[in-house]
Amino acid sequence: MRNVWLIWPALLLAGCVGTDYIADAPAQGVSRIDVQPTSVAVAVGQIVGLQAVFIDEAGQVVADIDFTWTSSNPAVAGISEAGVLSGLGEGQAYVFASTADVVSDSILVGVVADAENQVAATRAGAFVGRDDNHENRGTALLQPGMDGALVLSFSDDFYVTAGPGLEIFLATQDAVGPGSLGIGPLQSDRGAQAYPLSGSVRLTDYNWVLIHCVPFNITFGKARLQ
Amino acid sequence: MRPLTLGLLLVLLLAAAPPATASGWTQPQGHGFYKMGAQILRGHDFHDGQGRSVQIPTLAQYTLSTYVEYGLRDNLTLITYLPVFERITLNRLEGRPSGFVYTRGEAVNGIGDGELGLRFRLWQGAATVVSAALNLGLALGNDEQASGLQTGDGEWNQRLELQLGHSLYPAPAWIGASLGYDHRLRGYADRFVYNAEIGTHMGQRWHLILHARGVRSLDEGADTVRGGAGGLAANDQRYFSFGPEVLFDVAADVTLSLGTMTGLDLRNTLSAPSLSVGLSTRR
Repeated sequence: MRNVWLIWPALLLAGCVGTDYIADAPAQGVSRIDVQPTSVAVAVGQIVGLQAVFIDEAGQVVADIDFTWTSSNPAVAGISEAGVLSGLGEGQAYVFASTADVVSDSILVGVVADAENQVAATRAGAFVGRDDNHENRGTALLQPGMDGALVLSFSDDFYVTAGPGLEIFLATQDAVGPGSLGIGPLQSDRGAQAYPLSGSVRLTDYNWVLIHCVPFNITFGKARLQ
Repeated sequence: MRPLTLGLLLVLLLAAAPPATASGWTQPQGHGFYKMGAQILRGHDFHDGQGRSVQIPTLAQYTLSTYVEYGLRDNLTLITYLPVFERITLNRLEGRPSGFVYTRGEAVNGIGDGELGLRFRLWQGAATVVSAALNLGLALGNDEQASGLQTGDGEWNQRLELQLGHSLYPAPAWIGASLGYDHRLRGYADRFVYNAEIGTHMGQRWHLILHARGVRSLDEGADTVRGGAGGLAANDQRYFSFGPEVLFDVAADVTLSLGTMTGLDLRNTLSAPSLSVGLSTRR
């Protein structure tokens, strides 16, 4: 009878934190073209050189590729075969590089009348929720701050379903994993908020902003930076 | 009915009463039922609000609790439930082959949410008893864990139940059922709670109870209140659980119980079998 009471300490000893293992998500195996910079602001009459890089399915850079450059609005932004962008008139245009099979993301070009009104280079993307139970709305904006380091900010209409341990990650693909950069805990599940980034983070290092529930490894929402 | 027959029937009714009643019987004045229990819930299959399975790191909840029923009067019983120690663990999650740590792993310890209630016997026939019970949730647990590993929900809910107990004499068995409405606060949805059980005595020292328990939320919870992570103190929950409990009288006044429950129709809760063990006595 006395031994029956040993049940309780035995149960407590069972309550240790263990380790679970999962297979990493495979790297996204598709070819792509990366264009830098990913957004440009120029004055009328100014020229800027764009650079395109072809990356194959294995993630290797392929040299000696002939790209075709296209401007959505040649009256505002002209682009040469060598990727030299010219500001021709006030307004906005999108420019992308392509090969026979692969098209880059479009980069936004803003052309202003004079150089003093140039806007800083930015990247932005709209948040999308995981499913009906994990809503995520609003826009993520990545742009230089006052000190030159990048700042990640969310728009006034930002909203994500409340959850435990929500943190922000920057990632090269749409899932947290090796190579992701943890920014820190989410400040609020709604409304505008800003996160200063380390000075070593460059505008083109990451393509996704993820709102991730760290304790349970579930991504509530994501925004692809364009 | 002659006094001798009535007296014999009452003795047999008491003998057929469940060792841990949840079915409407009240305790005699000045007498009580006391139970110390331990429960383990451990799993990694969370079901979201649509019932979809989501794999999470292994989540476990270990609870040590006391449960007391004490007869204030023959028809009025005081009920207390107190999880005196609760430990919640969440496993570390590591990717392979990268070694990337997706989840750091965490554990919290503390007291859990308790309950304080009264059961009032409304009517008693020869083999049947009907009672009403009012239970107040005691928000003693911690509901401020950023990780969501909450030991409580932080709200003082009130649950009103109608309870029924019925002896199957001359068979050594009984059945019980209850239906309750749980009024919850702080953004948590109200919910219906129902229980059913059938128990039998197997010889002098062994007893078996089959339990069924269900929770059905009105799904009106505030969208900003998710409750605890992994469904441990979650909002808008729904489930139906069932399982056996075996009891053994280890001494004249001490009973050892061992039970397990599993669930169906899960919403916002962890899909995991629970294992419980308890020691109880009547005084």
